[in-house]
Amino acid sequence: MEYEFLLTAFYLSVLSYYLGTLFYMIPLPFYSIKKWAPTLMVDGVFSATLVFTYTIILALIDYIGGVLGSNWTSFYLWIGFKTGIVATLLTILRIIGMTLSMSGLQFLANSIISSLISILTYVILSLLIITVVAMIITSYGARLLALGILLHAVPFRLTRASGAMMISIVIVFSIGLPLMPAFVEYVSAPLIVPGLVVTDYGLAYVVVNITDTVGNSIPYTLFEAYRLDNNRLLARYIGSREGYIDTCDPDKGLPSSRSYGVVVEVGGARLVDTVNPVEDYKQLNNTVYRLDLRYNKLLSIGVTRFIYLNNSILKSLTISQNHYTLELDVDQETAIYIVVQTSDTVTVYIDGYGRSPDRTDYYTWYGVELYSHTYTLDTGSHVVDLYIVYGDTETPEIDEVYYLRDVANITLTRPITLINPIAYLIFNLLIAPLAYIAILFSTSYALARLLGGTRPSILYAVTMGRRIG
Amino acid sequence: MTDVVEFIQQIILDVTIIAWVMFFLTWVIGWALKGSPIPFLRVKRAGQRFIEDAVWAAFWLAMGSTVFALIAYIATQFQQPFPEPPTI
Repeated sequence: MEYEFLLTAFYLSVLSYYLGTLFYMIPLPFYSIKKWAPTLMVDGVFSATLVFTYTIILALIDYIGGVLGSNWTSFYLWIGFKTGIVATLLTILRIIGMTLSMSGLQFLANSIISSLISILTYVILSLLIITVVAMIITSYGARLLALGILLHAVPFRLTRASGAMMISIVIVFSIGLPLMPAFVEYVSAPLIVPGLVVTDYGLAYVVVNITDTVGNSIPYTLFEAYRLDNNRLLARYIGSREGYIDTCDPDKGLPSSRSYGVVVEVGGARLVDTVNPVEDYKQLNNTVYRLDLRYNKLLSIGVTRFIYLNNSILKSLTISQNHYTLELDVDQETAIYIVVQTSDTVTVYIDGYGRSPDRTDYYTWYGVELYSHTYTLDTGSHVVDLYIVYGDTETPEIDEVYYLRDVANITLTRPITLINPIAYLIFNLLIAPLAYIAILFSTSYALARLLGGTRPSILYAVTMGRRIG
Repeated sequence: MTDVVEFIQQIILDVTIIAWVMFFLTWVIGWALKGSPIPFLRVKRAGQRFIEDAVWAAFWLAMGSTVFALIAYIATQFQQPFPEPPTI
């Protein structure tokens, strides 16, 4: 295809040259016809030169690109990464907007969130357009160059300017476009980058339900989310008396796009797990998800009261007024822990015999005073009867760390915390790339004028003889 | 696309033939004007210009294929591999 273009371009330039000589010898003393003659001849020669330098131009593009460090792979990686960030941010803003309207702060959603969403849509549009331009240049660059040379060769300068522009755009953009990430980062470097945890980890409003081994919700559980890479805290919430952790407040929330580590703690017993939001979150409605975590080694018997089953397996459970009967299967000698508040009275029968605990520890868990009674069980089946008289119930006091407000530093009633990082992002991804594209365009225009505008005066004088005019 | 190329080649041939005929015509007209007994210098100057342009153009017409062969030769000479880019 390119060969045919180049062949046609060559013959067009030959035609232009011969037309030039023909116009030279027309026996009519009209200057307007005569002045075309040297123009046509020089244009023909110039276009023929361009045809023959086609491969040289392509090699030059690669060469200069290599000297300057242009790398298409890193360009595509960079632009794909940035597009992903903006897309994630759009989703998060939409979720925040919906949650805001549900909690009655509709005016915030309408004014701030919608304008941020619309401008981020422009950002993502421009990034995608730049990606398309890059793909066109990489796949069709050689073909466009041949087409540009063909247009340049048309006699009488009909399409010479457009041909020259096409040639110079291919050259300049092939060399310059992969350098855009370097330019953007260079321009954005002096700015203080506000960290955007939300674009890394996403945002979702989740109702977390933590259940014990028989499926009952455990009241007042401590739920902590950690980053897997450096163990920094992402969120800390305390569950309600009903056993639910509701993160649906606009300032709360949990990560939604990356796996994170989870520590569930109740009365000192810890469960460490990893949550993968993509798999583990179940969708309740448009905005809210549900996460179910099961603490298999725990049996809840009240507020911050529980039996830690350790390695024993619960076969059956009977509950009546303040009386729990457990049938346990023990594979190897294991200790179970019965944790109650200090104001409670506990009586334990194992296999029918009253037993006092092997060991009792006293400790405090976030302001709640607890006793932990240890009972060692031998291998085999055991029946544990537990009679408990509940005393005063204390509830734990924990300083919560909200994901959106504290870790991501975005407070929705102070819009500047949200607008600040997004303003930086808009500069980084909309203004800087467009400025760079403008630089590339002005360079192409200057190169096009070089290729299609000026007349080489020496050739002009030679072909016209001693006459200039 | 090949039809276009053949079409252009046909036009080039026609233009070359017309150019040679035109050269002869212009040369004759030029000498006729130059030698005519019209007492206007402008006429004689016009005739002189016709003759010069016609001869000059005929020279370039004949040299046409040589010019393009020269360009092709120079371009192929330049297709040597480029020197190694400077390592930073």
